[in-house]
Amino acid sequence: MDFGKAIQIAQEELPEYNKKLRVLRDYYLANVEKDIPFIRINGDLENRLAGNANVCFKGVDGAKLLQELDKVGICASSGSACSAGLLNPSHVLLAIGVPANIARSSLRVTFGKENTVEDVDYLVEQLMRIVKKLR
Amino acid sequence: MQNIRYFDHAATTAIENRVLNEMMPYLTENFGNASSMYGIGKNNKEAINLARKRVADALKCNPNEIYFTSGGTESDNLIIKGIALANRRRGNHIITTKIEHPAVLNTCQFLEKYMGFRVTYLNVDREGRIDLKELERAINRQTILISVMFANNEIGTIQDMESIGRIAKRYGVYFHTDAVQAIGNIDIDVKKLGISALSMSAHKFYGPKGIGVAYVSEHVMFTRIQDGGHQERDKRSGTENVAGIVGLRKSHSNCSRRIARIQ
Repeated sequence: MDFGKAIQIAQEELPEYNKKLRVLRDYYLANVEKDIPFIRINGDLENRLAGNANVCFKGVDGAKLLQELDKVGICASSGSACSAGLLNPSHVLLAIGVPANIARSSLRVTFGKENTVEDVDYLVEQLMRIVKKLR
Repeated sequence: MQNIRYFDHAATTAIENRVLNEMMPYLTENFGNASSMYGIGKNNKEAINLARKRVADALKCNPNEIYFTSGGTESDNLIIKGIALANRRRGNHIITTKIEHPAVLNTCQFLEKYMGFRVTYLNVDREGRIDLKELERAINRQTILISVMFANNEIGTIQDMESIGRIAKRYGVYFHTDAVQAIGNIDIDVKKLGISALSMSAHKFYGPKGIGVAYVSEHVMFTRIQDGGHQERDKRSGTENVAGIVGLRKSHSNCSRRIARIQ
């Protein structure tokens, strides 16, 4: 397959990639804000990668949250490294002024080309249940 | 097995079929060492140089400014250590930020601990952006390098690259950016943004793991940090990962088109 063909296919199959990510991201954040109390959205919403959402669920242990999400087939990240099952507060969240105890409750969700609105609905539904359980 | 719903594309992505298909011949019949003198070697050298040209076109730089590496971490190490070691006589001060990826932070800490460098770690505001005035104040006669990530891996914040590039140019300081998260999402013109060196990897945008690029401007003095058989114009020794390079080129061209449609 020559380069020109690849361009053509990419244009046909993957239009408006960033726009799609932004729609999913904004939809996710709107629903989390609507359905789950005591959250904090981290970082700039304008000068930001379209597919990135970083939210703290206050009072929830970030490592436990990831484990519970894994049980229902959801792959996400705390955005920071785990050591010995203990979540260290992220150096990035500390640098933007998030208190350490809240930083430990962070969840980084980063969208990609195969994600759908239904995926986001499932994610938010599971988050509502798990956050309630862990608080 | 239950359905997996994947929301961790900043960690890594699944390789696209079209990218894998492009790579397959280089993992099978086209196995030659790109440095060899016979056909199946020389053809692979050509494939690498075509990929180098495509990546250079996408970043708006020259092919001789593109070095293939094993990924973002190696590119960060090569660029920061390579510039630091080659420019010690000019100065021993590096400026970076508190929110860099560990590949940059720990490389800077290595230079502080073992090589006698001084490093300033800039603060960021509540949104994750650096203060350009603080950056300017931090520059002194010993400063040789500013390293600021293009977009943050945890909170996605995009820095004001054009202004940082302008400041770096005004003070005659090299400007490196870790663009691992930005590539595939943002169209990057290194010359317009005043970027002298950039790190990227392929697996964040539907390409293979184990392959990356260090762009280093031809005006930058830097040294290799890995010794060996002189590949990549003696800046990065080691037998070329031809399949990886072809895969990186393919995934990068896909996402460049994706971005071009949007802007």
